[in-house]
Amino acid sequence: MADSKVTVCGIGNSGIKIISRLSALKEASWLSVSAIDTDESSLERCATDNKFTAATEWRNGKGCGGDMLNGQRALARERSKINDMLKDSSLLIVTGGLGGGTATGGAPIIASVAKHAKIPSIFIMTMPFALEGHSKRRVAEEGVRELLPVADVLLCLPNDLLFSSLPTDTPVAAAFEQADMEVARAIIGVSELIRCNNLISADFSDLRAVLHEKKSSCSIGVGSASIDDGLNRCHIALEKMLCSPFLGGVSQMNTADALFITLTGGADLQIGEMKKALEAAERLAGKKTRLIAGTNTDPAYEGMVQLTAITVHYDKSAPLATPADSGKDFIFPKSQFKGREAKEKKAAELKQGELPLQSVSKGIFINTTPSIYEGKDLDIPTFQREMIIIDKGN
Amino acid sequence: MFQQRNVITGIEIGTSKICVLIGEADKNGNMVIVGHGEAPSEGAVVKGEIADMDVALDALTKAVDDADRSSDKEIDKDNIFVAVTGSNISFYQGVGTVLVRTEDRKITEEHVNEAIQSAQNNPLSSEQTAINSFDSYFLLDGVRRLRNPIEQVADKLEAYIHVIYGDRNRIRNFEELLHDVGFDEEITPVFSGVASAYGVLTDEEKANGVLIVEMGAGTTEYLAIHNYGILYSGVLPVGFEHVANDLSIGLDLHISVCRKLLLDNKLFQARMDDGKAFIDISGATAGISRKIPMNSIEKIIDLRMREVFKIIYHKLNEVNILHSLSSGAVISGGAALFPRTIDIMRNVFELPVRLGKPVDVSGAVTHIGTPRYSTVWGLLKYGDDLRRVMNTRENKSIWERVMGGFDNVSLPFMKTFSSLRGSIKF
Repeated sequence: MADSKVTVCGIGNSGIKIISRLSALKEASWLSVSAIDTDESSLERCATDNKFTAATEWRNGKGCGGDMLNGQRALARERSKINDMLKDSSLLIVTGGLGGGTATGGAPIIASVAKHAKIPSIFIMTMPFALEGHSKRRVAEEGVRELLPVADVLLCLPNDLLFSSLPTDTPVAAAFEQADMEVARAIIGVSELIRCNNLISADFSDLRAVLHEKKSSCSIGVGSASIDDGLNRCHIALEKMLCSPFLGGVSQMNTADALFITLTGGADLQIGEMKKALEAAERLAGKKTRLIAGTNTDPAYEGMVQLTAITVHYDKSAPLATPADSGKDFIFPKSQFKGREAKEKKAAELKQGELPLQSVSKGIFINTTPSIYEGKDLDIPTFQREMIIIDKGN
Repeated sequence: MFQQRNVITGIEIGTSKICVLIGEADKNGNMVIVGHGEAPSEGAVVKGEIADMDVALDALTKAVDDADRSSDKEIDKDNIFVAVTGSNISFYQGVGTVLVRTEDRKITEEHVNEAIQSAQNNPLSSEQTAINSFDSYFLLDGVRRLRNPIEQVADKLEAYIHVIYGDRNRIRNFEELLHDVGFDEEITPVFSGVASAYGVLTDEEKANGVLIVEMGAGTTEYLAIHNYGILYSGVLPVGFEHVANDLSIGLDLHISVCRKLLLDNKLFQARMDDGKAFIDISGATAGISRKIPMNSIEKIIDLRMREVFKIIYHKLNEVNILHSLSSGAVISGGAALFPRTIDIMRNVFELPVRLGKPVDVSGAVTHIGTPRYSTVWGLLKYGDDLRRVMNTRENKSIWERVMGGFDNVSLPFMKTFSSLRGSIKF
């Protein structure tokens, strides 16, 4: 794809693991893979040449120690390098694990660089395991909040779902390998969406349009099968897709408000197969589902087919985009989203307790008639009302 | 009351500056600037409202003197236009219905005036006063939406008018201030948003539908126009001072340093483009230079600007106006000079956004071609338009002057229509 360069950028430790998996896959050969970390040792393990350690002279290549402010500063020092890395890409996909330092703090920086360079960006981030504790979850949610206004599309994949489909006696190493592989597959699936030579087109702007309308949550399923798996490879791919851990089962497809299905195959993909696969997927979708189906071929898929499904559920409780979230594409896997909602409620209760403390920081507007809009005092800085931490520098 | 006068004075009492502009219509009827005076407000105006009359009086006196000196014309005391704004300003849409009972059922100007008058019969409370009033559109038989209904055949004519009103006492403050400076004749208040629209919009934009956002230091005014009629208007008491204040609170900097940071494009944008991660700010505390992360500055500004535009977006979205803005949006006012503003606005509204500068500026004073002067230039254009409409009315019968007196009739938003109306013979 000479005319559409897609850059996949792994950030932080887990991001690099994912892209290492990704670059080993032959379907990913057309993607330009790059890596950024603050930890030199993890970058060494990564096969790609297009990589750099952020802020070596400051962090000494020893990582951020899980502090997102450090991650933010380290990446902010490297804006020009990031810009070089991204230039002339037509799409940027960023992956990493939220909850740590580098990815949580750095992803918004990459998003802002991409925004400046006018490159559309998709962020596929994993959320920490529940067993990693509450503090990590809180950091991850902080990261999501920072990323939302700047990223075009944000997909959060909860790690907990990864192991849900594995038997309990799976070896740990294999389980993690499997987990990284699933994310890598999801990236390939999403990147297939924007291939320019789509036979039936389903592209980035479709995705963006669907996600833009309302606050929504979503899930991804990817399944692939080769000719060796059996005669009916499309059917096998479909079954694998339905079993894929991030999808959350067939019911997700039945109830989805919008459903993207893309079928990718080699030059040997037959029209009958395509028809059968897409029809089967169409039957799985509910009556009210807005279905966007696409097909394309690529020599790398010789003998293989791959089905990708992205389901989108609009948030029923928020019928129209509110001023706080309109203009953002917010996708959150369903199960994950419920948990977050509950936490947000908790945070709101806390916020009320803090309000009297915050009202003092009105600066030059302290003695003026307050500007109240929908219960918010607009004289208080926006970042304070949205509880976003600001790095004051040193 | 309105004779053939050519000199018009526009006065803007803004949060950052008080500005006086004198214009004169030349032989071809184009507005030419002949005088200009300006003084910093020095805190006399907060969020678009006068907070300190004494300081404001000093600044205004200085600006008026400067303007007087720079032009050799005496300020025409009949044609004074002052821009008013503030959180107290709002609008209502009036509807007036007239049944056409003439034999041929053709709508005449008489019907239109009657409809407009009954549309204005909306009771404002005694503390409020109407500032400007414009035709939005006319509806024939409840279905046909037209800009000019005259000569059309219909049973029922409905006039929709857009009346901008404000708190009577706060508007009086602007007028009192001008009286104190020595203008003792009648002063015409104009809503700042309306003035900006006159100052920067092209006829094509006004026809196709456009949103103008005027973001000044203290307030942000916005106005949605479609087919030469105002559909929506409003003021948000948040301006560029809020951005400076946010920076000052968030980064522990003095407010004056933040103002400088925002006004000096080189300081901020050049560093942004170079991909620099930090900005050195000296003299914050006792001469110690501090390294402030660019990222933090960007974030604070982004969050605030986005919020302002989102509130406007949300208000327009509620009444389904966004889809009629075919010509996109225009950003004007001092904040428009900040390079990131257009990007953020484009991002929130997902409309083409252009920078609004005063249009058709000519005359001795040429440096007013920046978004900072959109409002005060618009005042001259408004005054010029109003004069034309009134002149046409002067030439008509006494009966019509009584029916269509200045106080009773809303103003068509464009020149072409007013002349069109004038061409209709009684």
